[in-house]
Amino acid sequence: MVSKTSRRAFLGTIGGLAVGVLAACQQAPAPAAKPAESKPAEAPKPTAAPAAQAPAQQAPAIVPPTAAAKPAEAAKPAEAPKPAAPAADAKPTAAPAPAAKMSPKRGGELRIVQINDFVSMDPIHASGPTATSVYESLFAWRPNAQGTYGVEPMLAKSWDLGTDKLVIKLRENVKFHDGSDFNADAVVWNISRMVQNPKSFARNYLPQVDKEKPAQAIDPLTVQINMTRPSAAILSSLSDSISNTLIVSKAAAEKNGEEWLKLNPVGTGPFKFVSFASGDRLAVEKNPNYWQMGEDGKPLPYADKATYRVIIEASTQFTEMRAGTADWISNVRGRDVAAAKAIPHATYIESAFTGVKRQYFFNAIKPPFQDNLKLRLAIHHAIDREAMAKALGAGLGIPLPYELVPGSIGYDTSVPFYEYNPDKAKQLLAESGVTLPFEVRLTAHNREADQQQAQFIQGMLEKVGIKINLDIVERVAWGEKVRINNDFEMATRQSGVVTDPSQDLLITWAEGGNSAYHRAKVPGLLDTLQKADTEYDEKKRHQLFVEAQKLMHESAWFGYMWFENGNFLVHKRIQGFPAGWGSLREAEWWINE
Amino acid sequence: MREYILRRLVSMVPVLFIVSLISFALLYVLPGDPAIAMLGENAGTQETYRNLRREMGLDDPLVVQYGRWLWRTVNGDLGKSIRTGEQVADVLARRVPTSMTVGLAGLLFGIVLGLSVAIVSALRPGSKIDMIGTFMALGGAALPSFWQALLFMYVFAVMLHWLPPSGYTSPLVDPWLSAKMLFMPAVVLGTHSAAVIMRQGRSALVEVLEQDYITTARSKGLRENAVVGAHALKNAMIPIATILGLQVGNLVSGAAIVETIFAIPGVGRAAVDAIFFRDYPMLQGAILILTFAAIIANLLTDLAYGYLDPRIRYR
Amino acid sequence: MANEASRTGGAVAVVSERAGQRRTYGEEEGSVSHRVLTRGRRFLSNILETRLVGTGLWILAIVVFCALFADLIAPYAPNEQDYLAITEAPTAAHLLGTDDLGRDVLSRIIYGSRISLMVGVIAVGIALILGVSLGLLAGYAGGTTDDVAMRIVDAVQAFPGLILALGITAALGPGIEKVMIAIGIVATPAIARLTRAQVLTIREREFVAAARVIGASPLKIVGRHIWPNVTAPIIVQATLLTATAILTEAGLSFLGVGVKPPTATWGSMLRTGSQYLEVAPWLAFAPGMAIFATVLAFNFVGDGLRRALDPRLLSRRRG
Repeated sequence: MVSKTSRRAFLGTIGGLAVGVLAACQQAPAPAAKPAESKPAEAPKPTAAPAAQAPAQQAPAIVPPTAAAKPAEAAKPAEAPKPAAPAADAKPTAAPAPAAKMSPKRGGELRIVQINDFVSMDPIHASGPTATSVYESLFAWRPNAQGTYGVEPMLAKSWDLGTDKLVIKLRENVKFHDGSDFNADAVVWNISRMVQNPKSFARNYLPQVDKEKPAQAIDPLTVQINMTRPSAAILSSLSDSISNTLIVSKAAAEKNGEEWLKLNPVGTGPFKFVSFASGDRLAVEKNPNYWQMGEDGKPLPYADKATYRVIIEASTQFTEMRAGTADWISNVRGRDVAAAKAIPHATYIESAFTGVKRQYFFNAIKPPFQDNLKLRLAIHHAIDREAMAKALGAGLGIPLPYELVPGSIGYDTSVPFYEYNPDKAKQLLAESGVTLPFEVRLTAHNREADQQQAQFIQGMLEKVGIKINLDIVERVAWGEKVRINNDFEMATRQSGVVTDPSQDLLITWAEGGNSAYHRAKVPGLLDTLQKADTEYDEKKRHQLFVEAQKLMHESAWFGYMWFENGNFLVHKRIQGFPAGWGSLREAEWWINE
Repeated sequence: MREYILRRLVSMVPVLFIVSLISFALLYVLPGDPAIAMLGENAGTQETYRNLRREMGLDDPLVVQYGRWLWRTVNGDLGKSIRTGEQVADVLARRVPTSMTVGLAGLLFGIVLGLSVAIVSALRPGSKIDMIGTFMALGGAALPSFWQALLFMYVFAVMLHWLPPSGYTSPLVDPWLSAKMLFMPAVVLGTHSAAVIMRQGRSALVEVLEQDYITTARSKGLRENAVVGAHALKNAMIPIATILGLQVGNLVSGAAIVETIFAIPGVGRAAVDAIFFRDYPMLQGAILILTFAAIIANLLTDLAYGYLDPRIRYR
Repeated sequence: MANEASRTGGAVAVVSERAGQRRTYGEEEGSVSHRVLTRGRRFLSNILETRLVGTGLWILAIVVFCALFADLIAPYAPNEQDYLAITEAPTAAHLLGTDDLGRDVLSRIIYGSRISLMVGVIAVGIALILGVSLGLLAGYAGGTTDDVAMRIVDAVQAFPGLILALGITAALGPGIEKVMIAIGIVATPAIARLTRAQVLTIREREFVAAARVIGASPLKIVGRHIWPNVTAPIIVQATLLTATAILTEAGLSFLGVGVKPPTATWGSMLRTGSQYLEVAPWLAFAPGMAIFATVLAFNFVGDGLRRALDPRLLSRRRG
């Protein structure tokens, strides 16, 4: 009863609290106390498909891809294009330079922080981050000694890529975490569900696989994947640069049902699943029976545990890094880069792998842009890419007038683009026949960066006499308006970097149906893109992609603005961080403390 | 009294029903659907989209969908999250204790701060202390909570390195770490409550302290503490108790922002995520829990009010 | 009875059936002047409060002035971008600096005052229209209609406010007007209860029954008896609600809804600015101070009004 309450009691409580707080303040937060794990979840892309790219500070390195050596060389010089990163650039700015060659120490917990929440532990349903350290792919996407990226063995020991099939010899003595064998049977089951499950996202990356009979087992350790056409991209699609094609335990699915897989990942990877709390964290621990050996001859991984913590608020994850309670974060914003570089216990690494391309496009089947080339050109000429990259990228941005990024196969400065020329823009606008002042609705996401960019575009177009009405909508509403209902005039989007241009271009430029965006019909473009995929000769591929970009340019449906580099911050106690494409390779990290 | 409680509990049912209707309607009015939400920005085909829709039962008429949900809920099955496939009940079971702890911490802070400032101010009304105290308490409620949160995080975690920037640990697991992690969220959540409590408490106390019976007690020679404590506070608590229940409502809904910034996996954030992802079952579950909490808090407050004020009798 | 306290972030205006039961303790129902003139705490307390109200009024006067004369006093157009002057610290040319798109912060703050006031006005307006109608309906009709209406009011009130506002704003699309509507809906239950309480109190008075017998229209009864008793608490609610609305708009823009760029609202400016805390602190401090001062002002004034329009005075004044 309140009657006993007195001022003394209250003051006592306050006093007690004050003492408690003061005492708390004396201790620095223990780093181990909060497991903070990060995953390379690239915000925009459902699958991590980073490009090897020189950091923004250096001139974009354009090195024509070279064929990487493949074990078990096949007659065809097959190979997915490897956006080559010159050796020097394989380690972008401020990469951790291992002073002396230290031997890896074992033990400890990796605290990774990721900015996007997990969607599903089952890779084919993962339109966002998934438990990539629990699984593995058939191939690994790695740079060779010269720094050129290519496919290397992982669960596949050797392979033979033909024009209508891909035959893979599997690694022996690999087991899934549930004890079942990794064999051809399991792989066939995996490939089948990748292309046959109606909700699978892996289908987007395997359009060339025969849906009727995707794969068959030749013998317990040999798999044949049936293709409907030759495809250079198939190898990289099945590599660890694409998280949807990770290999899952068939036995686990049969025992518990496929639904169970969505919350319980069972793979062959270096870490085993411990627990998952959506919106909070994923906890994994080391797989004692992992097949890959470390430098000391014992199985990887070096670390004992790893925790992936979800922190969606950018400033919070950055603060965690500064406080020293996180080992890895990504997507530090441009304005925070200076502060990031100043963190004494962290290393700042830029990587185009997780960068985003920023583009806009018009609605090709509705007015006002349908049939009005001059109007589209007017807008293209009114965009000042340099100013955008500088103002919006805040040090992380480079202007990019093409679809493909430097380092990618097909990137070529001979491809034409529309230069910034406001006078020409005004003239074209006048010639386009629309009534002035002309109003256009621009549909953009409500992400901070997109909003900023949209307003920037608004300001630029206003200078040439076009009034932009901003339609800022949240992600789902954007998807509905633009892709499902085709209810837009002009829209912006950001797109991740893929290992092979055919992986996303065939989808983006689909004339309808698929992830349709602008739904333009550009004669010859899809054929060219398809030819580029079926062509195994590097030089010819490059030319075909150049050709495709020229066609895209002439059609003027897409506007290419700028490219924002991705970045990571890695705690200095972490050694062995690869800073490369493909998966994070947490198995190779070790803690130096 | 028991009748009263029973009646209130019974009247809760139609309210919850209407609330579930509101949240269901809300999700339907929102553009898009969970299938689009699942598709992500670059992936998926029209065919995938249609398959997803069909599987989620989105093509059925609204009444059917709501009816399905209602039937299952009444039978104890809150359904599965569309986004992750987890059982909604499991997710809530995990998140409710978290939110409750954070909310209670906030309430506690609000009460302690609000009451202390109220007492100090009421004892010396019009003085500098009163002015400072009033200003501080009200000022805390005049800043948007996300701004407060970010400022606190910057000061305490970045500049001073005193507190962990974010996260949540249950006090049952690690009380010390838990307290450190709860401090900033509790302060941010509590400042708004503190302002209200302080205002109410101060004016109630000022009035009460003026009363004749206080003067009598003083002239009887009772010590100031006894005077203030025994008589004044007891009576002043009554209007304060009234608002406490109210504050729970505010804490419950305001927590979403604090949970976002401090990376606390609570129910508020779950509700917000569910809206953005169009996760119907998750949203319905989260809203039901939050509403239930608010209603129960109101009931408890009313009961406390009746208990404290002998003149109030509930039929 | 369900807790009748109104649900706004500001002070509580407890007006309900319980209002009659809420007394000061041990005090006679003497006149106001008697109480105020008594030397003692109350008096000193009132002085401080009057000072606060005074300060509040001054601040509000400035805000209103800015809102009315924004076109005249703002040095730049609020949406004028200048790529060459991105995120610049305050200088003579830009007294409060420029933001991430090169727009003048001072001008945006001045224009933002319009939005802030409008949010309050429109939100209150909507709450009034919906709330008074509901309250009248419930109070007058009684019986099942009353029950149903009050359950709906209970439901909206029990629904977590921020989330309801978020849902409504997300559903209606981008735009500050949508935020105002959402806040108005969330604030409706308080007004509805207020109105209903008054209706119930008045309804039973004999002269009303007499008036009904002689056929006076319900409208006249509303106008003469209900409305005057309801206005005072509603005015108080309105001031406090504007304060809440400003804060809620900021919270919603943080969550990513409600803002339609490039409209300058203090809340969205604060949200953007808070991301630049280290690099360009003025971006956050300017709107932060504007919000702080204005919300405080509305709270002070609202408190003052509440004391001045004390329901005890009102119930004594009316017949």
